[in-house]
Amino acid sequence: MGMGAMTQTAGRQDAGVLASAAAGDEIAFRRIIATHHEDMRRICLAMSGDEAIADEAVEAAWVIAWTKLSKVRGPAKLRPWLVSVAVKEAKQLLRKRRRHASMEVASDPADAPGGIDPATGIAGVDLRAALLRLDADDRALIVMRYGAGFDSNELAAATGKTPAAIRQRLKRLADRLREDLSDD
Amino acid sequence: MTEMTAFERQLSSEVAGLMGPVRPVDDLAVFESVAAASRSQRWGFTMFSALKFATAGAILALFGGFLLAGILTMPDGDEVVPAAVTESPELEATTARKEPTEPPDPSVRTDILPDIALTVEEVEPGVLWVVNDGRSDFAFPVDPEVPYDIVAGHDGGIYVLEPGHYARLGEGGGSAEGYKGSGWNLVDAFPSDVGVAPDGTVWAVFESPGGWRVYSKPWGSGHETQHSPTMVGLEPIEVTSDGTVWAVWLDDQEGVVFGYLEADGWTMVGEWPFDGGYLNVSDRGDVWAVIPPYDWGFSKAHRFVDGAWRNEEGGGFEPGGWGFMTPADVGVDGTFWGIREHALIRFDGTEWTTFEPPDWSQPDVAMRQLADDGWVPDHLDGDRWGEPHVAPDGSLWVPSQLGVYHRDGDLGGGHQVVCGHGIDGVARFDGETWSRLLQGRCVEAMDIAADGSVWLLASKSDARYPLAHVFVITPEAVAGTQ
Repeated sequence: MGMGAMTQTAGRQDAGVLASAAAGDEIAFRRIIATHHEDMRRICLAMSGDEAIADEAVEAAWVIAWTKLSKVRGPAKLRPWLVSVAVKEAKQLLRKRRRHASMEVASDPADAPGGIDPATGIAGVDLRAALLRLDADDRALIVMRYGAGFDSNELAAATGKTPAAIRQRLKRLADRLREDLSDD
Repeated sequence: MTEMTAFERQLSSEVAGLMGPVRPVDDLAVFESVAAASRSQRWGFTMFSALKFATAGAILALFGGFLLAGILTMPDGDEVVPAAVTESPELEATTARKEPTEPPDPSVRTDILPDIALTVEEVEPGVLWVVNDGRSDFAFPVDPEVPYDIVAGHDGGIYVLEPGHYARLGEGGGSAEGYKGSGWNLVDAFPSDVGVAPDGTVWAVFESPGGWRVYSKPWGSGHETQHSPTMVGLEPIEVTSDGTVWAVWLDDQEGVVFGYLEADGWTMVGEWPFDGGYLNVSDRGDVWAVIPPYDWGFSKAHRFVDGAWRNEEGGGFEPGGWGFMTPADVGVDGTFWGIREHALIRFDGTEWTTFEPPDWSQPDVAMRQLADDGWVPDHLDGDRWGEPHVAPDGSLWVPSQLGVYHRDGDLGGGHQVVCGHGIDGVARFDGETWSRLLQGRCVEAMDIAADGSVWLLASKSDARYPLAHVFVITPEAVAGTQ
């Protein structure tokens, strides 16, 4: 029960910070930035494969958050909301970038571990390549689940789908990745 | 519980590589940048407004006479309104459906339990756990997370959905293996939404190259039929009690539209001017669109009235708001029910009303069970309530969506994983009082049959997966709660 009491206290603090930030409190908003900025940026980076897009998307997301934060009801919604805003901005930037420069997302091969996982028999470099072949929406879902640790409730809140639909989608994506790798 | 497989662990590792290292955050610099951008936007707006004003003045100076003449001669009521979505305080009975066909077949089976040829066990008054003969449990012999939905068909059958298959309770002599014989022939067949017509035809939506498509398959037949065109949005279909199939699709000429399926093809009723969303059609023809809060938007509820969508907000009440993503349900009298945060909302055709459920505190039973199993529950989170279901008697049933979380060091960074959904069981609201059943069990999915029996996929004995156990709350038990 001690853990529960701590969680409740933390929840009240989070609610207070959210309310203050929504009311225009700079300190509270900066606290939210400090907590969530890297989460948002790294998810956008993994989704887009582009540092500049990730930075620009997160900056745009904070501008939106500064004016729309009052619409977020409850601290539990804050993280998926912020991430969903940033991911949406990143997707728009990615589309724009591709339209104007035909730029393809590519990973730096030097970053890829590349080795074969003994538990799966799958080479890391192949799995990363398969991830990059997913479209932006699917890659965002995978990144939010397996990179940011979103559960299906949070993913549902971030994408506007039901938790059950999210679980189906994730299972399909995992199956597709496995099939993709078995074809390689 | 969502134990990670070796593949998922490797996936996490690769995704972490794509995310790159964590960098220090200068929250002051970020904030100053945000503040500057906000000021710039406001200034830009001001400049733009001034420019518009000056331009309008110039136009007025040039063509003032013509404009003035036009205004003076414009007939009353010739207002510019949005093309499709309008707001109006007036509310009247709504119907967008085709001409009424034969009334629904009332002979819905109420004897489903004996036909299942399974034993049943009463887990609490009026709540039966449907147990397979000779088996310790009813779980399907597949991935414990796979069965994901339960559908009370308009033919009186109860269907359990899993990837590639739908299982009709009672078929296969009560053997769980026997339920596996009704799969789809489609490659990678994973029905995302299913409805069953009174004649037993199963309608389902599948993802296929080029989009989502609707298929039908009479129960027991070998092959399914594809019904074009391509579906859009969140791939929902609605099968009403008269067997009409409603959907949203992409029309080559009209764009995104909604309508219903007849023998000679799809009949368009109107435009679907939304970004995705859920179509909800009641048996009496009320058509609603619930638009979830995609990205950073805000959810809305629209009703289709007299050939146009009407935003059913007003009276100072905003039924949407971020986080309101639950598909709604509409009762036989046209009453619209939805979930907004932790409360129910109702639109009776005139006004919105909010019903706050009682504070049932923490689901201590499930937490204790988890602790007994060696878990360390960390906290509870998630929306308290899931998709509402209106029963034939007008009462409302809502499954919990609350999850239990614990920290798993294997995930890195102390990520939380959920080890239970719907841990609060299911609640019933009769318009005045609340009651709760299956407390401490995770409810994955539910549906209500025409006889009023409530069918659920839920965990058997504690808060953890698997959730493939079938429970039924009998109509008699429902009556007993009144």
